[in-house]
Amino acid sequence: MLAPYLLGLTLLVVVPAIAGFGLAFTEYNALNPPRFAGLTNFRELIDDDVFRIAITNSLLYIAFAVPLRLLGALLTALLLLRPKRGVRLYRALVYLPTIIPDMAWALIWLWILNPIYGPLNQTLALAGIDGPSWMTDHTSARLAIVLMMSWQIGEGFVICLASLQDVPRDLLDQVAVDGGSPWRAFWAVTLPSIAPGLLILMFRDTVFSFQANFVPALIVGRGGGPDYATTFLPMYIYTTAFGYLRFGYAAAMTLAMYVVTALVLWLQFRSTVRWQHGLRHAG
Amino acid sequence: MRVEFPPRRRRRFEELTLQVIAASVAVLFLLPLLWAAAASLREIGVPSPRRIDLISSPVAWENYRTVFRVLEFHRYIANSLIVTAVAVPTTVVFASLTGFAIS
Repeated sequence: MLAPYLLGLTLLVVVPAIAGFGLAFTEYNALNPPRFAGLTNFRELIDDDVFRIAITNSLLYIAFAVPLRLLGALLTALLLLRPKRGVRLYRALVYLPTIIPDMAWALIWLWILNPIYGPLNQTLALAGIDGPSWMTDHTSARLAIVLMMSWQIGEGFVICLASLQDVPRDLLDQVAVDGGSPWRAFWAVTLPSIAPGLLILMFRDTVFSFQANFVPALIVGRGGGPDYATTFLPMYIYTTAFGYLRFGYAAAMTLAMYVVTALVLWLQFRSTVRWQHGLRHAG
Repeated sequence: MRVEFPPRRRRRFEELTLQVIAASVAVLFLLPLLWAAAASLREIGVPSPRRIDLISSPVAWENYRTVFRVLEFHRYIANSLIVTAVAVPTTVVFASLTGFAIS
């Protein structure tokens, strides 16, 4: 029964990935056949300032987007867990931005983030706040990308909701009977019980976030601007391959991106395993 | 000053507060789409408004007709439907087969 999956995996993922890794050691412009170049691409990577900026941007993005998206998903799920009037509608509305295609979502935000006419700064102006110029300023441009991605958290929301519904009721009741506050019930019962789901979600969202900022950088950042502020790794790889037709160099960067992703996941895994273990025994 | 409510009224108050928070959060998620919808009904070629107008005047419903005229929009919709109709059943079948095999 594994056969169809393994066949698809081999043909569509493993073989292209190996070919891509092979490409990393060549010079290839899609016109002439690839020429073996040894480690030249990797040597160039080390001295490439834009590549260094792209890695920093990507890591910075992960550091802000992933916790914000997880927290957003968990808090909305907690809020919309119990039956209340209109809760089904509210849940649907929270999921709604997630089903908008990336490209359409980016175009919506291009309009929202317009510093003069955009509804976001107009709303801020109503509150007496002078909104930032968004995509023309380094910090606010990065913030804007994190912000627009923090709306599409429907997947995490559904997973949190499902985990929360599985929290043993009798344990929660027991804390209440013992005179514990809802706060105490959350830390002693709810959090340890949803921790595995939450961790999977974090790993998944990290991998997703590394790649998902491509369309925002392309459309909202107009190709990674201003001044490389939203040039994340996928954006730079794309420009290198399809803008400058340097497929070998782009493949080397892809390989480096794999390594960075794996490293981040490993760090997350190492630091959370102990935390989860501690949670289970704190109770 | 701290106001002490009797327990039942306090329950009611808490429920109401949660209800209001839940509704506000839901609206927060709806807002970007609402703004996009408002922008889609704005007349083409008119300067952008200097304030938020959720209902533009005049309401340009013909934008939706124009999009089908200047683009092959029905073709794009059909393409999306075809891809979805093939991809979703395939994914569900193969994913459940695989999940069953490795669980």
